[in-house]
Amino acid sequence: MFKKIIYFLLCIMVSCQAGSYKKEQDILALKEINELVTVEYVVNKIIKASDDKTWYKIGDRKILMTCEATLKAGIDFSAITAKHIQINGKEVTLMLPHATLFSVNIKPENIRVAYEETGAFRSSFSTQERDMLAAQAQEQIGNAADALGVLQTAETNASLFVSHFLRNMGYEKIIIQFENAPVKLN
Amino acid sequence: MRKRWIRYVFLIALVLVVLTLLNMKWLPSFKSIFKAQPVTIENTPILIKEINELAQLCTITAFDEVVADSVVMKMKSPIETLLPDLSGFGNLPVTGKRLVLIGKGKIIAGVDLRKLNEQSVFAEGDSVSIILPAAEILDAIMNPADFETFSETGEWSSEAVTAVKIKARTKMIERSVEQGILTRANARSIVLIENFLRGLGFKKVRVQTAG
Repeated sequence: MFKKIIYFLLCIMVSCQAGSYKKEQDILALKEINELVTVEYVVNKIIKASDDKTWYKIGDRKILMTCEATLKAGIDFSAITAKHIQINGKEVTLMLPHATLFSVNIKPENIRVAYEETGAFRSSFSTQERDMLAAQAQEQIGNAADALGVLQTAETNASLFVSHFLRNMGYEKIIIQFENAPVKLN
Repeated sequence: MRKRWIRYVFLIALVLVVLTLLNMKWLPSFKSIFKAQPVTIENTPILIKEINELAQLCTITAFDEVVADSVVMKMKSPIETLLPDLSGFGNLPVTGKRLVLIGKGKIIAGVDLRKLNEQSVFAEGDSVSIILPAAEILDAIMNPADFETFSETGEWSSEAVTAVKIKARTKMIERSVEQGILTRANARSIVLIENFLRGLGFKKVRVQTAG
C-alpha cells in the first residue's frame, strides 16, 4: 500500500507540470508602414556567459562573444494629419508624435566568438545555443534604448528634418512641437 | 489496528502536503530536477560606436521565412568505410557534414529623404512638385533569435555558420524584390508625401519618384 501511494505521488509530480502548448499561426506578407526613421545608433556589446548552473553536468564551459547592433528610431509619419498642422501665412505649427524604437538589428557577420572554454566532459556551444545568447544581448540592447538616448536624438533629428523640409516649401517661421509638451522652436 | 489507522492518516496527510506544495509551486517538480538550467548572459555595458542622422521614410515591410544550407562532402577513406556512418550519407562512398538553417526576418523598403535636394522640390503659392528618390531596400533584419537550426551534422565553425546565415538573408532580399516590394514602396511613398503636403495647405500637389 505504501509503495502504491509513493508511485501515485510520483505520477502526480510528473503530470502536474505538463503545460499546455499553444502558438499563434504566423502570417508572412507585405505590410504597409509609415515610419520616418531619423536616427541610427551603432552599439557594441560583449556577450559573456558561463554554463555551470546544471548540477548533473560535469565540468563547465564559458563563452565570450562580441556583437555590434544597429538601433533605428523615429516617428510615425502617418500620425501627422491635417489636425496636427496649423498654418498662419508663412508661419506653420506642426505637432509630431513622440519617437519610438523601430528596430534592433544584429547582423550575423557582426557577431564574433572571441573566446570559448569547454571542459573535458562537455561539448562546445552549438549554433542554436550561441544564437540564444546573442538573442539575450539583443533584448538587453533593446531595453537600454531609452537610457542610450536613442529616442531623444530621434525626436531632435525629426524636428530638424521636418523644419528643413518645410523651409524648402517656402515657410519662414516653423514651430515644431511634440505631443503633450513643446520640445523645439525654430 | 490503531497502528494501521495512524499509518493511513499519515500517508493521506503526506499526499495532501505534497499536493499543496506542488500547487503552490514551492516543491520542484520531478521533471525540473533533471532539467538543464538556462544559460544567461551577464549584463555587460553597451558602448556607443556611432550615431547617424537619417531621414528614411519606410513604407513597406515584407516578412519572410527562408531555408539556407551548406554541405561539405568528401570521399570516404578506407577506414571510414568500415565504420558506421553518422553523417546521414548512409552507405554512399561519400561522407561529410551538413547544416540547414531556417531564417525568419523582415525587409524594410522606402525612400531616403536625405537624397532630396533643392532641385527636387518646387513650391509656389498653393502648388508644389516633388521628385522623390527611388525606393530602395533600407534594412534587412534577420536577428540571432530568428534562426532555427533544422539540421546540423559535423563540426561547423562560427564563420561557416555566419556564411550560411548571410546566404539566408540574401535569399530573403532577392525574394522580396521579386515580389515587387520596391514598386509598392514607391507607390506608398508618393501617397504619404502627397497626404502630408495636402495637410500643409497645398492645393495642387505633384509627387513623382525618380527613375
